[in-house]
Amino acid sequence: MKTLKVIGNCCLVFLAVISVCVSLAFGYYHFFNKDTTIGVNNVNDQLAVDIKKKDEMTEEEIDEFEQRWFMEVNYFSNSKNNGVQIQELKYNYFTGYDLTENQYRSTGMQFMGDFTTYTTYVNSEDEANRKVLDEFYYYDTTLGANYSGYKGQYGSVSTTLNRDQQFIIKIDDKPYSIQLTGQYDTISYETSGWWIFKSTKKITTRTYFDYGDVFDCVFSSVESCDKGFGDYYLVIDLSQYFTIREYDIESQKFKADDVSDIIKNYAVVKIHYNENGLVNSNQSIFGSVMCNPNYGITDDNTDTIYWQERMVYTLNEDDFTYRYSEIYDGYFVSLNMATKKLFTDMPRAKVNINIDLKSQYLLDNEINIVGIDYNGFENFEIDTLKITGNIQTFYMLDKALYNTQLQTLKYSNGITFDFAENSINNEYVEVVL
Amino acid sequence: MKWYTYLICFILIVVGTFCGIQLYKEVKAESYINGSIDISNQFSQESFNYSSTSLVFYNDGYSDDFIFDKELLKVDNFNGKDKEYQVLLNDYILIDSDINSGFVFSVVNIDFYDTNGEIVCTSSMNISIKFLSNKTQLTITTVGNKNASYLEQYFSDNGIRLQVIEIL
Repeated sequence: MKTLKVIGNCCLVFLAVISVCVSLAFGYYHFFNKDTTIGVNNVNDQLAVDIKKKDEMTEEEIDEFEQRWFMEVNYFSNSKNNGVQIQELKYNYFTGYDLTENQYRSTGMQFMGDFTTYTTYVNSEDEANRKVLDEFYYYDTTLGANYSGYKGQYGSVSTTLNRDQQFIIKIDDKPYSIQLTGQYDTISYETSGWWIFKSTKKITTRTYFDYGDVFDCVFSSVESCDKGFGDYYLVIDLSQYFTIREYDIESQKFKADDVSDIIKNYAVVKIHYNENGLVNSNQSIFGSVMCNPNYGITDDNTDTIYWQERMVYTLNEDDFTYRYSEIYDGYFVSLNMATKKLFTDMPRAKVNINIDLKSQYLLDNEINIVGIDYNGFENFEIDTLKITGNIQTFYMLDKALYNTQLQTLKYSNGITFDFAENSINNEYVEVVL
Repeated sequence: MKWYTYLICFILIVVGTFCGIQLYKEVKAESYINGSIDISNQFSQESFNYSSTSLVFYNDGYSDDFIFDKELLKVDNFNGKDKEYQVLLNDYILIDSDINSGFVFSVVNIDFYDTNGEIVCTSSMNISIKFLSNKTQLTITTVGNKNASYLEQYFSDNGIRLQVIEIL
């Protein structure tokens, strides 16, 4: 029994000696080894992994899906003093580590004016982590809809932007988390006592960065950028503010890097910097200003509700083709097939035709129009046909206006029409000018 | 051995284990780069292309003109004198566009109908695009608050896609 105890004690002492050696080795390596490791996290686009590649997208899909960056800035500086100054910053991220499109979510903050950050005094780290700045309007974007459910830092159904918040983002098609964790210490000295009894006390004050600090820095970088106003990108350094953690598939945990000597975090910011002021909520990236989606839209009492719009085209003498007829001793007008097809491909086009029989174009080209040719405007929708000029007979040959759904025929007093039997197949309104 | 010797040994072993793990992590640590930044700030574009989900006109407060003004990237090799171009606004071809050496001008007329099929607004706007050496200046103007409001509503509903395409 005694022998066993001696052996046990020896093992214990041996382990203790080994531990001391390991501790000394660690101390030496940690404090005297000059090798450094640098970790770099580049936060590129935040497009879902199940989104098609750019080459496979249509133009509309590219417009919708191509652009999704971790941070988006929308800044109306109101330099022209024609609206209100507004700053908006949106964070795009995911709600799950599958990184699929159905896990898209965005949270943003909006400030009316030019925000300048300040130090918030807190009593504890916990308080700092929970603190949400009240100067901002907060919005969430889910399934393409924006809303604000923020009712103060202790009541919100939108995502609260505080230091406790941890977002899932995509790097190299793998999930990572990002969290605002930055802090810094300021040291001051307080002297007390008198003459040779003076003593100096070192006071360390810890300050925790909040989202207002990030907001201010981002907009300062925009304001100082030599590109000025416009749409462009900046790659900003988030190392001081955010910690990025890699997702460990085995443990299913996001793990912090506490080993690398230097960790750099870079992220793309998409910027829209406008010299104008904002005038309505359509210009906001949240579609809302001060939580009002109708901001600037319904104030002027102009009711802009409509059923349908039609793009109006007016064709004149120089848009037609002409055929000379010896029988009628004059020219018949028609429209070429290419022009007809062009308008057929634009179903909302509303086409008016003006024929001025005394126009300079006709005079210069010595063309005397006597009517509309066979099938001249057939199968081509016309709203108004206006014929002005000489006192003459105007001939409408077979199917000249067939299937045109002509609404109105305007003509100068003195023009008489000679319609062929099949020249038109709908009723219309005549207006004598 | 005294009891405190055991305590000291225990503490040393715990500290040693911690230091060992940390030493292992530090020795094994390697520099790394996760992800890559893949953007390019474009300073020019091959052909004119402007798109946006909405458009807002500004009134100068002195006249009845409502103006949308935007500086865009310069367009390489635009030459309205020697080449043929087509101007497209959304799905419409602006057939009567006036195209000069470095300048495009179009008049766009849009009628808005109510649910009874009656015209409630006949709007007109001028689109001018100046192709300059260092930028492209897009200006869209209309007259009157009613026109501006209806056009803003139209662009809010449909977006704006304005293109100047070379006809080859």
